[in-house]
Amino acid sequence: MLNRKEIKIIFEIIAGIFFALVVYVASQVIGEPYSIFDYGRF
Amino acid sequence: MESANSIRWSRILLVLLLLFAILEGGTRLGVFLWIGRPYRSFSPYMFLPDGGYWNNPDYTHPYFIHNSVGLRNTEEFSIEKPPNTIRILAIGHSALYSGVSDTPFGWPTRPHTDRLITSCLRKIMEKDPDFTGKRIEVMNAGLNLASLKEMTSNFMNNLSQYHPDVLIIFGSANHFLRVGEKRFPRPFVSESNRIMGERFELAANDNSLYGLAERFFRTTTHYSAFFAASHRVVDKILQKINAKITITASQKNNSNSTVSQENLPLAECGNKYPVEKLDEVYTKYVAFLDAIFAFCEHYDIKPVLFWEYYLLNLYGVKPHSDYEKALSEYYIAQKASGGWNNTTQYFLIRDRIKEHLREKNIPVIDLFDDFQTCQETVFNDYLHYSESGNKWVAQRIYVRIKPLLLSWQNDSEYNAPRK
Repeated sequence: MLNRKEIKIIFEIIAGIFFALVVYVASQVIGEPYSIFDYGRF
Repeated sequence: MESANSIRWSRILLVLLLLFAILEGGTRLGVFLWIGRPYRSFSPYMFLPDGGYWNNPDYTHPYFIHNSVGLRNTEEFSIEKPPNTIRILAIGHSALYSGVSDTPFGWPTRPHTDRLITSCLRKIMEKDPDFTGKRIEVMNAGLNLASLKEMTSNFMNNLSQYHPDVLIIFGSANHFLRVGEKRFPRPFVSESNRIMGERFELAANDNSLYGLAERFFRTTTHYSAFFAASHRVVDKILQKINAKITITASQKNNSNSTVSQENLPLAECGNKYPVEKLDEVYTKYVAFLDAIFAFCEHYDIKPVLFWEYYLLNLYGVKPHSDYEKALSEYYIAQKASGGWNNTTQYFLIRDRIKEHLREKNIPVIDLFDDFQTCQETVFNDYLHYSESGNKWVAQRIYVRIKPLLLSWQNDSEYNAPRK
């Protein structure tokens, strides 16, 4: 089993990846009238 | 006691890998159950070496199906035209591709790849006794967000190798929406106001951290279904927020404006209208068109131009269905600006282009008169056609091109395979 410190590290790594993803997508989206997925959304 | 205090990195790595494997496997299974095909890519586009872009052949989507070369067809085409074949190539943007745009009533039904203008046209031709014994091929080279510039490049560089007999150009709408808005900052750089141009610059030429991030995310979303799905979900959420902010800002600006820009004379239109520079827009558009025509002449391809109308261009002209009426009224209430609803100028440029093509003896398919008696729902949103709209348009295109096809068939030898 994992201890609390290890769980915290895993949580931080996952949160970091998603934060980077959100920042990256936001940098594309802000001020852009079109998404790179425009007309191809699901 | 040791495990309670120390950090075991091998375990952390193992858990992360396991977690990723579960999420990746789950996403791939979900994609397969949802789409019926294994995951290959959620990216609709790919870059081309000349700086342009094209439909990603690996795109995995339940409705937007591309064939193995990125055409929006379920069927495949050989480079060399088979004998006894009439091959029609259609180039255009989202109206031809049959993309959809968000509406105040939600996302419209996405037309299936077998119910596009091109597939309907092929089915109609196959049923016509005048073409009995002929193999009919209608290729759909629709590319979302493309203007005539991208279409010209894609046609000349790549699509022309299919040696079609007829080329239908669906190229009026997107071109006038954004052309002239921004200048190239310098030669040999992707046009920054084109979303794919910006992405290309980042992925190919930007050596900063941002460029590295672009390449990192492009690679991870290519190989991992989970990261690709996460990317799309995040993008969707942020786009919604962005759209809400943009609409609110636009409403605020419009409520402050005392004069309707649509009614202003050409010279007094603000920078909001790219079509203010009518001569410049006309010259650029016609220059690209003429380049295509010259190319077609050398390769013995018969070009035809299809003129596209926005829904608002037909307000008071077409007897709208309830859905189209509600959509039009919404756009009018929003005072949507940006050129595409500026009917007077759009019609002015249409007439000039039609006159230019008449002088060059190039056929133009203009469905304006047909729209005046059409009561059914043709539009899915502000521009794109519904499945029934695609069928309606295909039938009208066929009526226009059939005499041309028959006369051309007599002029040239369709049976001879081209190389």
